[in-house]
Amino acid sequence: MREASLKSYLPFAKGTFQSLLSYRLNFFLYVIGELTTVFATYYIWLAVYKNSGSQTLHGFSLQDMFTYIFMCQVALNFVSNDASYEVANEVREGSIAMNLIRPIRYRMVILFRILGEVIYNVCFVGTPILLIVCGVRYFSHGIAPDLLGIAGFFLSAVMGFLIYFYFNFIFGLSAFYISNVWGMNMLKGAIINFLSGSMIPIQFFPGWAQDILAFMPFNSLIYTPVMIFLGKYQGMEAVKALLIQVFWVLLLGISGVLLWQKAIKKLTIQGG
Amino acid sequence: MIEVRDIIKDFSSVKRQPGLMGSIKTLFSREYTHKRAVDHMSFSVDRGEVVGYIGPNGAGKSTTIKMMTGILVPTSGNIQVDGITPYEQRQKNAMNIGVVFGQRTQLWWDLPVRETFSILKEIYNVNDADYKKRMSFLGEVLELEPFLATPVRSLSLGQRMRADLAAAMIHNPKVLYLDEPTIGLDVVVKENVRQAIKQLNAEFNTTVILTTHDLSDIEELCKRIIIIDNGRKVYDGTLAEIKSRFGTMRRLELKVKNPYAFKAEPLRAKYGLSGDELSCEVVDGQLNIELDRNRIGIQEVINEVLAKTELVDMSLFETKIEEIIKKIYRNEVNME
Repeated sequence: MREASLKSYLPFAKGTFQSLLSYRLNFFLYVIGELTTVFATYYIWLAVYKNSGSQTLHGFSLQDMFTYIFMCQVALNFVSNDASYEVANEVREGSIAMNLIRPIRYRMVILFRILGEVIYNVCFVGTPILLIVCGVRYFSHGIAPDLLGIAGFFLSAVMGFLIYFYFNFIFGLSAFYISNVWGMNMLKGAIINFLSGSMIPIQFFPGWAQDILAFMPFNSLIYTPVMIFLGKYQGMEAVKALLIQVFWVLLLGISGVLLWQKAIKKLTIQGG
Repeated sequence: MIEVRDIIKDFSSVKRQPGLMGSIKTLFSREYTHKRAVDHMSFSVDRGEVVGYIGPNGAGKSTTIKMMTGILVPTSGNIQVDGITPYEQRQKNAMNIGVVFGQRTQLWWDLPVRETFSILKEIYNVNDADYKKRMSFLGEVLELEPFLATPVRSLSLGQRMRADLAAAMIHNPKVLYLDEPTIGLDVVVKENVRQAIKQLNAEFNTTVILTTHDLSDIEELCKRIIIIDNGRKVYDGTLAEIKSRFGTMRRLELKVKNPYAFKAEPLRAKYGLSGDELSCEVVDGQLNIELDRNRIGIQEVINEVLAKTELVDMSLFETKIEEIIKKIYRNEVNME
């Protein structure tokens, strides 16, 4: 049959983007909240460095740490999404029915809806922070922007987005089996915050923990793109990190599709 | 056009124990309760037919529709809509169908109505010429023009329903499923929506499956009705047949001194009548008698009443189709 074209899904991205534009106060509160967290984290690290008496910790200078913290925020703008909540909510409310009567793929609908939000955040929050970080590095430390690093960061962050999207999609499908996924969602958020490296660089973890995390998708979300930006992954190492990301996109993507085909048979919509 | 063959749909849900201890227990041990929503349902519908699919709440109407649209997968049995099994080829089937769920909307909540239509145009890949032609037809029939620029969230229920109906028709589907399309609408808007459905069916020869609790929808739109109760089909035939079969039913409403003096049993015994053919009840001190005019004369009944008590006032009615269908729901009449 005629496969629904990309054009069919664009309106979903446009829809989210437009409705976000109409809630401007929300946006400012969001930015203020984010910046507060980032600065708080920065000052904690500042204190850590001052008291440690050494210039670098696990190969991170204070300058690296500054970049790391702010770039984590940019990466978060790419990666964070609440696909699991969207899916679980639609299943619970039964509004998923309105998407199933259309000749389009459900996961693409969710993907594009979230893409609208991600593009919004990357445009209005992520990119300005990125420019500020590059500016600060150049003017106060004389570090010229590394274009290859920035390109690698974008590529890797997009991959991180896809990994987390499929992870969330699979997680959301659990709503077919469990009637309330809210609690699990909270737990998931906390674990991922920690394991993705967005609070503490993975390099600061004990060796055995790093070994375990190497087999998990979490450090592909935030840690990998930021390390590429910092130039800590270079050449073959960067390529290897990207390939690991590709692996996770494929694995989670395929699992998501298979699970969806199984879960949809369990769908129950009561009433209306 | 539509073939439904021996469909069964079971829902299983976790059995919940009452109270806090119960909730904790449910966390660790899961017991399932099974409910059969649709039970050995079969029927077929021809192209261009308008079929009323009716039954009391929880009878399994919506569940059947959701299986025909490919949203739910039947536990067993087979459905074909225009040669496609909807739940196996959901997207392909979706190109052929339009759906209105009266209690939900498929419009974009934050966007103007017009935007929803142009989005749907993309989704269904409708070409510009067809889109223009259909929009002008639908716009006229459903009177969309006054609120095309209004965001969906600010529409009245009647406007929303008309917009939803147009949204379901924009790709000229072969089958239109309408699940309670007149729910919550006032009399005038209801009439508008019915006229629109009629015209759509006439213009495009669209097959329409309609569920409703409002039997005047059925009387005006459907030649054929399927009645379902407890997931089983209890009637499949024309509305006219029901009317002719029960058309000889009359209802006597009597104001009498002592409404309890009259009993139906002696007359039933005397004339050999069943409970369907003669029954009585006392409502608010008024004696209501239902009788089959072909089986017992109205005069005999009145004579019997007069013999027992004093008559103050009386009126005679033809039994309404709604009353008959209510009786079918309650299994008070034998459909065989």
